[in-house]
Amino acid sequence: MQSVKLVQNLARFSFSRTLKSTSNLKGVQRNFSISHPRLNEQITVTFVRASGEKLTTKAKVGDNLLDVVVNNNIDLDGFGACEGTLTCSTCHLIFKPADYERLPDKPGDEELDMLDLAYDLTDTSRLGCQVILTKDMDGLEVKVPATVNDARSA
Amino acid sequence: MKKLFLSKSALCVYVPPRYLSSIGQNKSDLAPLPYDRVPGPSKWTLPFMFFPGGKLHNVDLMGMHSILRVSYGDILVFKGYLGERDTVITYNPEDFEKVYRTEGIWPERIGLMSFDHYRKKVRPDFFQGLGGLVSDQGKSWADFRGKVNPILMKTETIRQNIPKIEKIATEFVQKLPNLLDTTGKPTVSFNQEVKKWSVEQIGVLALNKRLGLLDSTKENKEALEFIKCMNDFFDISYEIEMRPPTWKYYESSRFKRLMKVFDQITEFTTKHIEQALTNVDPKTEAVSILEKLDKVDRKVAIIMANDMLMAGVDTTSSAFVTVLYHLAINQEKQSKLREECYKVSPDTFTELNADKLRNLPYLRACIKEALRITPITPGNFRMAGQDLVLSGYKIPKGTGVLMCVMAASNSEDFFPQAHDYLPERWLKSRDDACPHMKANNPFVYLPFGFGPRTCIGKRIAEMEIECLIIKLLRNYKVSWESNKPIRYRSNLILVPDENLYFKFVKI
Repeated sequence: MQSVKLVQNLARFSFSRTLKSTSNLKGVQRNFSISHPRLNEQITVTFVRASGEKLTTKAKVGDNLLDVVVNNNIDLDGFGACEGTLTCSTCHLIFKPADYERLPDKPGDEELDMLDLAYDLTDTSRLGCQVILTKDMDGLEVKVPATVNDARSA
Repeated sequence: MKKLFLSKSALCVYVPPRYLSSIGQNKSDLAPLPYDRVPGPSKWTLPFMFFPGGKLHNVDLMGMHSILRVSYGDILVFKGYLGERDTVITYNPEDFEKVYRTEGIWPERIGLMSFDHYRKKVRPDFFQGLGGLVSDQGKSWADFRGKVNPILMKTETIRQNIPKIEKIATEFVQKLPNLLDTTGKPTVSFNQEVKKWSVEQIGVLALNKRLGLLDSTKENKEALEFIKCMNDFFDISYEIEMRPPTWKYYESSRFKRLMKVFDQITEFTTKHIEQALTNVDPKTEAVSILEKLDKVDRKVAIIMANDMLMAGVDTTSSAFVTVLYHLAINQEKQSKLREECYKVSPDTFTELNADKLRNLPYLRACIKEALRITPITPGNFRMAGQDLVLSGYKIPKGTGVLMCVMAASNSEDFFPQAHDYLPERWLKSRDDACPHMKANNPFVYLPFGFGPRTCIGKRIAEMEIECLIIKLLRNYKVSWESNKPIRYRSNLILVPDENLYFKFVKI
C-alpha cells in the first residue's frame, strides 16, 4: 500500500510541475492580481484533522491546497483521489468564516456540484484543489472533515 | 456570485433526512442477508427472458430496467456465464453512494469484453499492451489516466479549447438554413447532421484537424464511412456484450465484422494523427489536446485520440438531441433559457469564451433536467472496492455492480412530478432553490459517474453541448411538430430514432 501511494504521489508531483509552467502561472496573474508573482515565496499552512491533531507545513504561493498536501506528503488518507480534476469531493476542507470570505475566487458551478457530494458539508466548505494560495494566506488553518468510508462495510 | 454563495449556506443549514439515513445507519445494514439471497433470474431462466415470448424480448434498455425493478425490487443479480463474474444491478441511490465512496483510488470498471479482446489479443502489435481508459485496470489504468487527466479534465486547461468548439457551433448554425425547407423543417436527417457536427468537434480536438463534415458542398466519404463504423460499433457491441461470450469459442460473422470495424476505426484515427503530428514543431509550446498528449507520450496520444473518437461522437450527439427535444416541447423553458443566451451572446454570433461560459446556471439546469428524464446510458458500472452491504445484502468485494440511474432518476420517490421537465429543480440560488432536491441523496443523479474514473469526456461534452445550444437558441425558435414523443433505440447507449420532428424558425 505504501508503494502504491508513493507511485501516486510521484505521479501527481510531476503533473503539478508541468502545469505550473503553463496554465497555472497565467491563472495566478489573472485571478489574484499579483502583478509580479514570485512563485518561490513560501507561507505556512496548517491542516487540522477531525481528531484535533494539527499538521503544519510550508507551502508555496501559487500552489493549491491539494498540491500542498501531495508535495509535502501530508498523511491524509484518500485525500484528492481525482488529482484535482473536480470529479470527486475527497479534498473537502472547512475554512474559518473570516478566511472563507477572504478567498479571492468564489466556487464555480463545477465545484458547487462536487461540494454537494461532500460529507459534513458546511457553509464555509471548499475543495482544496480549487483554492490557490496567495501571500496573505500565511498562517491559514483549515479543518479536514472526518471520512466515514469504513462505517459502511459489512 | 454573491447570491450563489449565499445559497450554499442555505443548503448547508438544512439537514437532509434522506441523506443522513444513507450514512450506514439503515436497519437492514445491521443484519444483512447473505449474498446468495440476492434476488434475480437464474442462469437458466435469464436467456429465455430475452427470447420471443420472454419478459424482456424486444424491450429497450429503459423498459428492461423498469420491468426488472418491478419484478425484483431495488437490487438483483445477473449470474455470470462461462466463468464471467456476476453483475449486481441496483436502483437504490444509497447503494450508488456506498459503491462510489468505497471504490478507492484505482476504481475498477469492466469495459467491453470484445473491445478488450481486440486491443489485447487481435492487435497487440499496435496497442502494445495499452488498453486505454476503457479496458485497463489498476496501476496501468492509473498511469494512463494520470497522463491524460491534466489535459482533458482540468477545467482551466480544457477551456482553452472553447474557441475551436464555438467556431464549429457557429458554422453549424450558420449552415442550418441550407438544411431547412421554407417552413423550417429539416429536409435531411437532422440526426445525421448532428452526428457530423459531433465528429467535426471531436475531430478538431482529438486529431487537431478539421474533417470538413459541415461543408455540404463537398462530401468527405472517408469521414462518412467512419460515422457508419461508429454505428456498427455501438450496435454490434451491444448485441455481443448482452449475451454470454460464446465468441471465446466460436467467432460468428457479426463478431468478425466488429473486429473489422475496430480495424477501420484504428486505421482512420492513426492516419489522421500521424498526419497531424508530422506538422507539429516539437520546439513550440503544445496548444492542442493532441499536441499536449503527444508531449507526454506518443502512444498514449494515439490511443486517447482513438478513444475520444469512439466514445465522443454518438454519446454527445444523442445527448444534444435529447436536450434540444426537451426544450422544443417546453416552450416556456426555452424562452427562459433564451434570455440567458442573450446575456452571453448579445449579438447573433457573439464569440464565446471561458469567462462567458463560467456561469450559466439555467443552461446547466436545462441540460441536467433533460438527461435526468432521458439518461443516454443506463447507468454506471464499478467493481465493489470492498465488502459492502447494498440494499440489505452482503456484496463481496470484486462483485460487478451496475448502478442503474435510469430507473431512479425517473422515480417519484426522488423527483416529484418526475415526468415534467422542470430545470428549476437544479437551481441552487436561494429564491428558486428546490426543497425536495436538498432532501435527495445527490448520488441519485450522476450521468457522467463520480470519482477518479468519471467519464473523461465530461468537460468536452458539456462545452460542446453548451456552445451549440447557446448559438442555436440565440438565433432560432425550436419547436417539435408532432404529437408523438421522441423515440429511442438501445445499443450501448440510447440513440434517438431517425424520426425527429424539429422545426427551426429564425428569430
